[in-house]
Amino acid sequence: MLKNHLKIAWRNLRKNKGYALINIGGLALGFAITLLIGLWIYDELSFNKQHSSYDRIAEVLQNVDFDGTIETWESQNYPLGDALRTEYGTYFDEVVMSTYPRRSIFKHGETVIGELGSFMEEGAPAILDLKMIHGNKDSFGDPNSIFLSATLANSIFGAENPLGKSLIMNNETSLKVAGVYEDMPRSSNFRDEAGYLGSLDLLMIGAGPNKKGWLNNWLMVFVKMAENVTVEQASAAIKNVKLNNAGEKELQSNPQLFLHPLSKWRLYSHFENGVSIGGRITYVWLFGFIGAFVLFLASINFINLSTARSQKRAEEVGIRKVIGSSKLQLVRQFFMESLMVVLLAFFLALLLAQLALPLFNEITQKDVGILWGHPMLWVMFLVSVGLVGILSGLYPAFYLSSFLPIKVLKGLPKSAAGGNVRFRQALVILQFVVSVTLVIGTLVIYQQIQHVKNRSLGYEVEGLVMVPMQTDEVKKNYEAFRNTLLESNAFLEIARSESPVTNTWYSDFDFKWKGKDPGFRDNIFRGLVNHEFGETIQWSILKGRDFSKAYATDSTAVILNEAAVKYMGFEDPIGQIIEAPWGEELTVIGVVEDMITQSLYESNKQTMFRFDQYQQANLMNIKLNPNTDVTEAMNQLSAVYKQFNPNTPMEYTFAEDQYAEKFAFEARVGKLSGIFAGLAIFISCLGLLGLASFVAERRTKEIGIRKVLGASVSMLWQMLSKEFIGLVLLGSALAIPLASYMMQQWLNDYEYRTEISWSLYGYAALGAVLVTLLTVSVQTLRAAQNNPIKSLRTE
Amino acid sequence: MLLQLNNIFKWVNSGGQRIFLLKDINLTVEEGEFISIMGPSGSGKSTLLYLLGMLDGFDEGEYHFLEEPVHTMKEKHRSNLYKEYIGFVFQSYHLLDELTVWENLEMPLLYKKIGSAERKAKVADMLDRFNIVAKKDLFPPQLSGGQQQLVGVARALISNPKLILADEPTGNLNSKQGEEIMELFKQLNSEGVTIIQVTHSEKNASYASRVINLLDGRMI
Repeated sequence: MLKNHLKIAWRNLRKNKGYALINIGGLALGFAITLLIGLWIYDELSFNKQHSSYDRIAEVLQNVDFDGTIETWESQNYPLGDALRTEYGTYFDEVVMSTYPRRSIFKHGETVIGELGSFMEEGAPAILDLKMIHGNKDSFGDPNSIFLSATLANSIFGAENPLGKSLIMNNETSLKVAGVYEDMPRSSNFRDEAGYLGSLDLLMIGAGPNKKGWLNNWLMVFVKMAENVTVEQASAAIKNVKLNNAGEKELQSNPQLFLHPLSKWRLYSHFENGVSIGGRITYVWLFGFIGAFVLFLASINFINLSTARSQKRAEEVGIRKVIGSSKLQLVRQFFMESLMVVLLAFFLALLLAQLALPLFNEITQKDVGILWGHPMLWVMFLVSVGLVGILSGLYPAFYLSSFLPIKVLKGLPKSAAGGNVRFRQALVILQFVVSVTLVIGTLVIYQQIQHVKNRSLGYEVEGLVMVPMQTDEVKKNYEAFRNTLLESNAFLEIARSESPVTNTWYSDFDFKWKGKDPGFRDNIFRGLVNHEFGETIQWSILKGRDFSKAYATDSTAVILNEAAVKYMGFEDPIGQIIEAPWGEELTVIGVVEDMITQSLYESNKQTMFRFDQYQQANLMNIKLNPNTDVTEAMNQLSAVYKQFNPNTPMEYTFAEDQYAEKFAFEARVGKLSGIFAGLAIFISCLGLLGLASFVAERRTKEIGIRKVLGASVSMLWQMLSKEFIGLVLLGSALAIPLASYMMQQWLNDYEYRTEISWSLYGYAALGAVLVTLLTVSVQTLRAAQNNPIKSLRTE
Repeated sequence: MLLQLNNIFKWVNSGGQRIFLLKDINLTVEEGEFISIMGPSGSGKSTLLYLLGMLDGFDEGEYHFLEEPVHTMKEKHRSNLYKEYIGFVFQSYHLLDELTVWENLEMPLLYKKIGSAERKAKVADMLDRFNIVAKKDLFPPQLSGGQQQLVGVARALISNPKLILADEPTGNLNSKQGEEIMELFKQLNSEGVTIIQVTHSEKNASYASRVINLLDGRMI
């Protein structure tokens, strides 16, 4: 009997190949999307979870108050570590300060390799949960030795055991390899920071008071909490450590310390006014909803399409009953059939998902795979196959099997089979609410990206290459290197700066100037640059002049941006004297047009460009001649560089790439939501197709009569299509306020944002209508063209 | 006695009016009879046939089948009864298009949970008897109307019913095919199967041993 049921089901599918394809294909697509989204969410939620002390690791953050705006900073100062250890030691097993990841160059024999890593304090192995391959965790912390990741050790030393071998860092420091650890997993926040691990003590040798003081925030502080200590307890305890130690006078910004636990780093790291207001978790929810909706749409569609064809099966039910089938046997048959089809769809979905994984990973920048062995997959398998199979089998199983055979065999009134039209219409409306919402969302994201792309940068990002000066060799040879480069017409100008122009993060506070309100707590971003910087990035001076070698006094000169002039309240900024917190008197010589040196989405920040009199700026900015081929210029650049700096490999970034990074995340979300919107539209079209064929079948007789009475094909097409257009317009009308609300919420996260235009809603609705017409016409035209004699004689 | 109808009435209410489909039908059928039901369109022929086949109910009267009171039976008992003793043949054959001839014949046996070996034997026997062995792997749409009806009759017969109910069995066939089916019925009847058929054709009706005429739901 089972065999017979499966046989019938299979033959039914083969007989209606087109129908089977869209029905199974649509469901499989829905399953596949949900599966991929599920993998993405799973990956996000399990981030960092591999850490053996997951619940006890935290980072020390501080809320600082700049005249009413509370900012949350990660960076801390050097004395904080000792203060936490000595005063609050009972709360913590480990307190470890770490530098931000920095690039160092390692040389061993002929091999020279640059890599990102951090300099940390003794407890680092516990904080990072290091898994040693060679050496002992406890040996970490000696300033004369270094730990390497497996990958780095392998690329420097190859197959040989590196333990005890020595290498030279940044051409000056000789270090012994004391340990090799497994690479940090991809799903770890520490991954970027841990190519190598050096001792922080090494950096502190010969460090000036500036680096050691309470005012300079340049480190991160991680802790491993003692057992039985909660985040709240420890946070409350350390709240005022800085105030107590450094004195309020020195720290006007009222820094309040707190712990941010490891479990929240990935998803809850967006702070506003000193409180965590989420972060990536928003996207986890968003994609979770989308996934659930897509699965819902696809399942509903599947049920819709399957049941629309039940009419055809009614006769079969009658025959089977007459020749001896019981109701139960019919119920079982229909369930078996729908389970088989859903099962097919699920396996197809696994295949689809597997095929789409590389693309998916590329877009999401992840490394997920289908977790074949994970119980979740099979729970999801059972739940979704069971649910969809049972739901789609429910209608034919119980409704059809309850038919009296006499009724169906004598010819069923058409309206009796196929269920409620209103229900189907409601489903189509719902589908279009979801699809149009997604489409509008995608359009708004793209509009916002275009909006920020069109924002005036205030400098020229094209053809700007940035090369870090990582060793003394490069610094020493800078002038000669620059002069040699300028001999070639491939390069227009070369300048030094402390930060890349695309990412100026450093700031100073506690300046004094004429007219400053004594209670005003200032914070001014800092650009440390030399004479040629303005020329290189092509900024525009609005008032006064650029730095110039002609003026010896320019060593203490500063140029303010427009935002800074406003911030400091200068009527006439040129010639104003500003007293720096370290005592120097700085003279304003010019005002430069606002430049986007930080986020594209925020307003311009007050920035002071200071002349780099002590040559601290360690980044070379090189402007290529736009008339030369980039590859050619880069070849020249690396040749000249090598000639001057044989011991330091050249690393470079294009400013354009850094600029693109600023909206990379938004672009990624846009791309994903675009794909989801496309698929949602596609699945909705399947639903439409199902409804259209259902309606066409239902109205066969009416169409036949109308044709006999003289209706033309185009009139019939209009009549049949109008109904659907109405549904879709209604769906769009519901989607517009929903999407507009959601997207306005999204945009509100951006200080610099686009206005959603009404025409955008119009385009979305128009697109939905066009797609609908196209889809529905496939069915309506066929129905309208049928020979009326055929349909009328079937009665 | 195979079955007996006493004072059967069947009606529908339409627009406040009671319309009678069958009025005061009294009928006794003995085993081995061959009966034709005749009458103009709408006279209630098919209604009577399906009532006899227990696929349709009635509003008043008594129906005894093999001495059992059908009118007081539960639905389940009733359907067991017709599955056991009655085979149906339809004007439009009503074969399952997705199944081969063999599988169509096998279907009733599957529902009766008859073992595989016996099923095979019975189906093979039936194919042989109706001379359609060559067609066993074809699907119904690949057969002519006459052949399809042959399969229809074979399917009705395969579970050895006492009674065959045929609703215009030749209605969709040409005269030669129709004649063949009628000859077949006659032969089956001579082998002891009771047959009741609904027909429009005087010629087909004449194959029967008794003719019942209906007009407006009444036997005349």
